[in-house]
Amino acid sequence: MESAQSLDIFSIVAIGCSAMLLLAGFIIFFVVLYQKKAIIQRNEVEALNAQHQRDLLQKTIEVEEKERESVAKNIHDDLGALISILRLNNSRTAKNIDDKAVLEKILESNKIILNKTSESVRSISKKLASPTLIKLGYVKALKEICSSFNQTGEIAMHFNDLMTQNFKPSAQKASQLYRASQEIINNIIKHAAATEINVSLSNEGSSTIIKFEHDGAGINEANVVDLIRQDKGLGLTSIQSRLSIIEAKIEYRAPVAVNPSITITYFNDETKD
Amino acid sequence: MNEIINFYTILLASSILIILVGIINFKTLKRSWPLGVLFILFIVSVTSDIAGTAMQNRGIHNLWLYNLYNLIEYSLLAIFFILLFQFKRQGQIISSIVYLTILTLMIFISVSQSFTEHFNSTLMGLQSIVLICSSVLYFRVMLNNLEFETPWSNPFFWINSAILIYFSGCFFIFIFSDYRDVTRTIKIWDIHNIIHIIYNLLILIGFWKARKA
Repeated sequence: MESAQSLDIFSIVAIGCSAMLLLAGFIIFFVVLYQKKAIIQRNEVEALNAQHQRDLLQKTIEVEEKERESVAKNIHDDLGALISILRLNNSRTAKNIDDKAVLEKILESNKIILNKTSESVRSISKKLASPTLIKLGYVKALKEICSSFNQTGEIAMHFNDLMTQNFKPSAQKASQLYRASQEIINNIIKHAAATEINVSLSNEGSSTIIKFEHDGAGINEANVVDLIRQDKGLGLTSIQSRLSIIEAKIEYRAPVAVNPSITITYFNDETKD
Repeated sequence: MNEIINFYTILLASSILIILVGIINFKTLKRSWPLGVLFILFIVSVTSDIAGTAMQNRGIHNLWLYNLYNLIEYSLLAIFFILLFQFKRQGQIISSIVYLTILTLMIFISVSQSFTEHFNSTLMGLQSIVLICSSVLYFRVMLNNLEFETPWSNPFFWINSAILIYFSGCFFIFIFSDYRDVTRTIKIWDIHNIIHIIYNLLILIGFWKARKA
């Protein structure tokens, strides 16, 4: 009788031990399998991120190259032509050294050409680096863009500074933010056929929100992805790469009921910490 | 009888081997608190095993020693897991309270039942459940963090697997340990000793891996 009870208990213990060991083995097997899969997945995500960073860098280089070409073209077309005229005037002066009337004409012409040259140099240097941005910062420089577009009379631009906190990004970050804002405004004017643009700056927590709202044809996130994929959005990629450098976020919205908008969220340093 | 002694000798030898590896890897143990706690546990384990055997040979009642060892084993493994989880302050406080509450409950059970006269199965069962849950929880933490490229290179994967295998494999042995005569007759403790040797070997691998990690 006692032996039968012993056997029963032994069976229970043996079966119980085996079942629990199997369960433990299964858990360990699952952990090993899951970790392998998770590591493969993580490596894939990291590779994708690295590829994305490489693409952004490539596009940034392309944009920079394009900017250089544009500056070279401006120098060649504007300054080159003016300097050629000056050279011609110089040889005319040598030929007509005794003719006072011709010399006076040449002098007058040279004055005009020098003024034009000076204006051209100012315009090119402004394109390369905004003096307002360097001296007065991003907010004033953005305001200046708005008023310069307003002065053309082709488009109505409204600038609203609703910020309650002081916004002072570093020079490098301000420059990236400025270039991105410039590109956004250019895109709205060129592609959205807008007649009115509202630019507003505000605070959300310790982030700064820069919103560009317009009455033209807007684009949403999906459109942006499509354009970039089709290699049609060099400007859009440039905006994205500039903002990714300063770890800012951009959001494209084109709802049916309200005006389309493009919003930049700039995380101030203390937010990231 | 000889077989029991053989398994027990292997078990004791493997525990001593762990202590030796621990001494060789002393620099690593000093850097890693959880490994240090585990090393202390093995010193306590070997000491209590030797003392228990000596007492048995002299015909002195030694069950109180094993019951006391179980309480110390639980406490040290609880500290090991608290250190291993690397929770933030709040998590550390919560996990400490949980482990401490269970320890209080175990002490209460020990005091209310006969601490010196028989092997406390409730105590062992409760201890096993808590430590099985802890090791499963560590696997979850490990899978979230993914600090190591392969689980094999993580020393705590081996140690945690050892704890999971030992306490789940021996769970039924522990809860039926009250049947002293029965277990003696059918040599159920042989199974325990075999699982304990596997446990020691896995801990040994963990200690060795810690050197490279």
